[in-house]
Amino acid sequence: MHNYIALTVVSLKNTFSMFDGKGKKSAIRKFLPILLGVALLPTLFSIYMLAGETLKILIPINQSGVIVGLLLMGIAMTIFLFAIFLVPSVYYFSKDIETLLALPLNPQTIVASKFTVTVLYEYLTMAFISIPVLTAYIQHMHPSFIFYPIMIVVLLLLPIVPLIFASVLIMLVMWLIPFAKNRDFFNFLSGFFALGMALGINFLSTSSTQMSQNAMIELLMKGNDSLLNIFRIAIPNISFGIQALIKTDLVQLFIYVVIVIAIAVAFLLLASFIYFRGAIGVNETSANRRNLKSAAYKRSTVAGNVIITYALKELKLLFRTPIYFMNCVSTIILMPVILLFSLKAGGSEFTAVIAMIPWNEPAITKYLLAGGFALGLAISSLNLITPTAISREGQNVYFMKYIPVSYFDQMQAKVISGLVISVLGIMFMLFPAAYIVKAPIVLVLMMFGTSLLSAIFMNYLGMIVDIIRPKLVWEQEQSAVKQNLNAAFTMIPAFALSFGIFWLIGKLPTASWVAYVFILLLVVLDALIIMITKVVSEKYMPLLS
Amino acid sequence: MIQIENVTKIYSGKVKAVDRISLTVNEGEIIGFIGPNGAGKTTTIKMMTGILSPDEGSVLLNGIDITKEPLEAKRQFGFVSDNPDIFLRLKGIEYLNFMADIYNVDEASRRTRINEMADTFEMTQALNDKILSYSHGMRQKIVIMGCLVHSPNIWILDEPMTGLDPQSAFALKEMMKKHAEEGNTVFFSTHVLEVAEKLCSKVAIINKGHIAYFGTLEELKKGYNGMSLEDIFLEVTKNA
Repeated sequence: MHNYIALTVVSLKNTFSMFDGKGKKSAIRKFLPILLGVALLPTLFSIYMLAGETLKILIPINQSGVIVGLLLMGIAMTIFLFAIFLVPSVYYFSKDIETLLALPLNPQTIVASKFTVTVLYEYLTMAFISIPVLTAYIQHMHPSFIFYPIMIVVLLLLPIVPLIFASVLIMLVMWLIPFAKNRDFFNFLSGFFALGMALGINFLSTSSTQMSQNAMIELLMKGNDSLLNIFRIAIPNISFGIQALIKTDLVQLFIYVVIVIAIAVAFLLLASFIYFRGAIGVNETSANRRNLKSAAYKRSTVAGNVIITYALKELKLLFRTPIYFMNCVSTIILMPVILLFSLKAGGSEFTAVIAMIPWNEPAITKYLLAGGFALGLAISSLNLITPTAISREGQNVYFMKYIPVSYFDQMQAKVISGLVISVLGIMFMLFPAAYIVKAPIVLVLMMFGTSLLSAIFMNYLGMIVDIIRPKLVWEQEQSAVKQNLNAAFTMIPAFALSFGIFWLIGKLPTASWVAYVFILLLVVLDALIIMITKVVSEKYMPLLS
Repeated sequence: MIQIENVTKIYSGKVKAVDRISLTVNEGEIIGFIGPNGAGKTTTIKMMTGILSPDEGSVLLNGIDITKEPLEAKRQFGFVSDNPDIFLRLKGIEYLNFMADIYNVDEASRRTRINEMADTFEMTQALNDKILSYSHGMRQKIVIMGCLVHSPNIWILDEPMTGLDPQSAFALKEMMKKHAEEGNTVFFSTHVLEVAEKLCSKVAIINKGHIAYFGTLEELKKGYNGMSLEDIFLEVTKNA
């Protein structure tokens, strides 16, 4: 127990001190957390409104508990998916594992300590979904006083079981599948598994939104939702948690707590048998150790332009590091697939809507241009490349400081790597969509142009944020991209700008000069942000160490 | 030539990691930079290479001030850091070619240079593998090769022998000697006193941010009659 507490305290200090960037605290950096809160408000408010509206439908048919059920299962499912990514890097591939394995600690202590840190981290994810939904529930249902302590107990214990299930799954794979110990291969495998599951869930939820309201009510009345039932069986404590909350029933709460404790004890016992079997001998990658042939050697030593070489180096690292590939690159594949799934689910209703679009209407042009702009912003903010470009360097950031390449040139190279992925993402989204909706080619090219200009803006913006507050201290690559708030900070100006552009477009008259003015405005905006990047890089980069 | 003049570095506004140190390293010299852990070796090297800015004083590399003309000054040296875990997912050859591009090395020179160094360090068969698959010593070798690919006049090496096998350590020492004999400058930090004794024209001993001794080992030994180098080092750092 003493070892467990000591190890957990050290890990917590390590994990949570790493949440902040490094360097001098400027006025902007002190202000950024408040900005982040503001940036998240629209999303939190949308979840709150959605929950409220759903409750208005459910209360008359006496099914308000469904919202609690959906919330708990949604959280459990999200945590399970996140854990598939998180568990391998925390339990097996983190930098401290080799040190821990050499210490006189038993496997349960290491697993319990790592598990505790992971649970605390999951609370952050959970708060994001549960606060707005429960606020709406409390507002509409006015539950009794006893509801609140029950709610706290249920939520605090909620991440434990899905996290345990994901941990057991990963531990078994690490133990039983020999090639899983190749870190890169395993990360790709688990990444694609989680993406596949996310796509499946997306497809199911898109299909269910096609259901008419009456059909949905009928289904709810019968209590016959197969997806929910599967989850009830898979995570056995959840139905007791739901009942405890809906009926404010302490007996159900007691059963809920007992099941969680039983599963946790069983998990620790199992971990003592299987954790070390997987953790010992985890290797990183394989090698050939063969001479380079003369032609290949020549190809590999061709001279190149510094900025292009630097950008290519960035792209190679993005594609070859599984965590970076999954978080920064895979969106360009994922987004078009989601789009196609959604369009397919739309079916005949969608085709009818398409047929009604008046492509020749002059007003539609200016809105499509603004749409292109929003597409560029969205794709570029989703790939997280420039807001983590310096953070990903981690302890090796010193390299940027001793090479004879100016900071601004290095930033340009990093922005190019982000832009390449943004442009591919835009093309994969825009061109297939344009083909499906049969949009005129000129309009599509104009949209592509504006999306390119907004992608330039967004990539430089991400770069500026990461120059000001890079997260350089991390134990695993995952922390550099996923536990990095920089991408969220770029959302505020992106939201403001999208809103401003649509407002402006709405106010402007419908004429061909509007398009030219709009494009000119974007060019000026891009020139401005490039100049700001130069100033910021020269001011802040020397402060990093 | 390296000129360090009255350089001071203060951390968090109060901790003086390096306190008004001055050193001049002439062409043709190999300087061993020695000191206990936390004495200020790495901080000094970071200021010499532009990784940290000095709070006071200046560092000149071949007469160029690293603070005033950083890019030109950075072209004068090759630097090996104490951490060789860098760009692990690049192949060895990709890393070397990247470094050659960074320093604008022409194709013919980079090919000859990489071939020579790969032979010297027995890395020919590893060049096409990712650095991630290398042992600590092999990573150290590839970083040294990357540092030397542009044939810099000044070598600044932070603990360069760490992890090297005896053959490679010997090869590196021979390269350092040859480089100095050709009229160039080598500055390296080390904890191994025997290496300093065999290799260096002069040693600089740093302790608690101050230079406790700077000169030849012979002069140092004269002052401590019959004592071993280890005892002299302990004495110098104790009294500093």
